[in-house]
Amino acid sequence: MLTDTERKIWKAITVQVQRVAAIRNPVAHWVWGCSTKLADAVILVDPGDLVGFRLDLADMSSDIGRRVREMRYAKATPPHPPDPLREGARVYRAVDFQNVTNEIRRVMQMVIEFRSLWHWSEGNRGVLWRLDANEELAKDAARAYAALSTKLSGEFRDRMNCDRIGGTPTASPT
Amino acid sequence: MPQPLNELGTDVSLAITPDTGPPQRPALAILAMQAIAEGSRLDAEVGNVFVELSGANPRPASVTYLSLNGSIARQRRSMPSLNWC
Repeated sequence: MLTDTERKIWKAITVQVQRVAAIRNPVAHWVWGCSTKLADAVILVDPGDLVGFRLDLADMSSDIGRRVREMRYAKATPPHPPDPLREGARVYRAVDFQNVTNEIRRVMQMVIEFRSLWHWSEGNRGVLWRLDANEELAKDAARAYAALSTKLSGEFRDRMNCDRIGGTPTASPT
Repeated sequence: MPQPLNELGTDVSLAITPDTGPPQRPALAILAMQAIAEGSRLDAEVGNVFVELSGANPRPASVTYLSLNGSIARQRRSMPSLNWC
């Protein structure tokens, strides 16, 4: 069972987990495309945009006769319609993939440290200062962590140590 | 941050065919897989913590976690017949 303070910390971490899931999802789920002009990159496209693009193509081909007649009559090329496929497409280079990996690892470290913290390990107190992606979140988390650190001291911590090692109280690590 | 394709202008073509996948960019494919793998590890670690935080009996906690995440594959794995815990 989590205390209010612990719940607050965990909630802050889960916000970070959701954030990195959102930046990982295109890498995991989007369609790979390429361009001959971008030899060092791939172009990822949302599969939903691809479906929409194919539907647009079908509409366009069914209407092509009228469009050609209109163009001849106007003796001008109509403006190029916006291309939703290109609008949503993202160019990923090596550094972009590495950034995604690094962000995920950063949050992974938070989760691991929270786990240690929850087990009252003294050696893992850095977790909340890494929540720097969101300043307000970081402030909240830092306050929560300070409260938790205070709680760690004294009798309560000794009792936890005692429980974990099978009933023999030991000196807490410093 | 990945760059929007539109910022590069219309002369940069976009090809999406069965051949425009990872084999054309193997080095980038490895980096992409690394990101995906790290994401999966994070999912697993969060699940582990969730189960630990939830108390002594891991099975109900794991089923709850899996249902919260909504992945069909994960929900399948949590089916009692598979007996994975």
